[in-house]
Amino acid sequence: MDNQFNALCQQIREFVEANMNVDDEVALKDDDNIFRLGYVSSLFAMRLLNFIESISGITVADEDIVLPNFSSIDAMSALIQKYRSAA
Amino acid sequence: MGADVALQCAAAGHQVVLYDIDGKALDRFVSELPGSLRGYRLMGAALPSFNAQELLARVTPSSELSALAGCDWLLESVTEDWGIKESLYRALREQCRPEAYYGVNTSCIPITRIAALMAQPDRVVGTHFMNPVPLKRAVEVVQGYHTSAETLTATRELLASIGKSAIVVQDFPGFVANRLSHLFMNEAAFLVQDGVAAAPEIDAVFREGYGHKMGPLETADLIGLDTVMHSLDVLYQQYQDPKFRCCPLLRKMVYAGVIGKKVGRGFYEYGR
Repeated sequence: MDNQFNALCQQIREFVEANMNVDDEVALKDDDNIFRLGYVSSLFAMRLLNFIESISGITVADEDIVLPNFSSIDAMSALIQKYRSAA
Repeated sequence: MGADVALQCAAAGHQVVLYDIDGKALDRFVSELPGSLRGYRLMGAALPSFNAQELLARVTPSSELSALAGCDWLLESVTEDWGIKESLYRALREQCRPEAYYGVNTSCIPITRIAALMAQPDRVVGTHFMNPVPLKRAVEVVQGYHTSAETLTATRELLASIGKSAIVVQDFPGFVANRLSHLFMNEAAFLVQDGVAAAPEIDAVFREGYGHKMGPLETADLIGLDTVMHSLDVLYQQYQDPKFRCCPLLRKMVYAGVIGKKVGRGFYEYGR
């Protein structure tokens, strides 16, 4: 895991945390399903997609535009890693 | 919302004329369509096509009212302001085919009042679409005083063709959706005002208790507290019933400019 990748994941985490509809005390775990736990609404997924593309420079292909790829910090990290390894 | 209705109809294979007085809004529809389709794909919308080029080929954007002259159906979604709707319908009456049906997309304007402006009031029906249109299965269909059974049948057929079901209700202020939802949102604001519970707890009762997708206060933040206040004032004015009086805290927040998600702060704080 290189520093740039870790920095991207950290930015995503901060973006999600800043938009969570819950008390500040809730600690977001990397494998938490942010939609199922009610931390964010599914409409927020669209902003996540745009955010990830804007900070990472990748363009997510249609077949990867599915909610499970954006449902946790782990899933989003894996998605970015997939595109970085393919590049 | 008109843009989303156009997107939905075009995806279902209909030829669509998208009319807006603002040419920039039409340009935005075209430029934002690929992004919107990606968003709806992500959220699992059941659209028959997500291909932006294919959809655009079926859409004719125009800022000339005469472009609507040949349409079978007019699905209107202009601002919820009687003056704006009135002048538009008077103009449509002159431009459109006598056989055209009119679907009024409104949550609070009386369908019967709009129908009274038209030569054939039996062909006017309320089509209250919910946001975001491609993700919602049903449309609140409002039968005005003169709306005919034939018009209701045509409405059901049109909605079925775009994958929506019709929930038919009668024309009374706020219909079903707004009349109920605004009482929930208003009473939730009273609960905050009275110190009974904070916004996250109130919404949690709805989400985690009742199993609703969203609580009343996050919904109010999403709609905009100014819009919620306006709708409550309209309901209050039309029923003259104190149950629709706007919560003073809600009004105070609107005066303070703390009106929800669009400004980053309402009952909740929103990052960026």
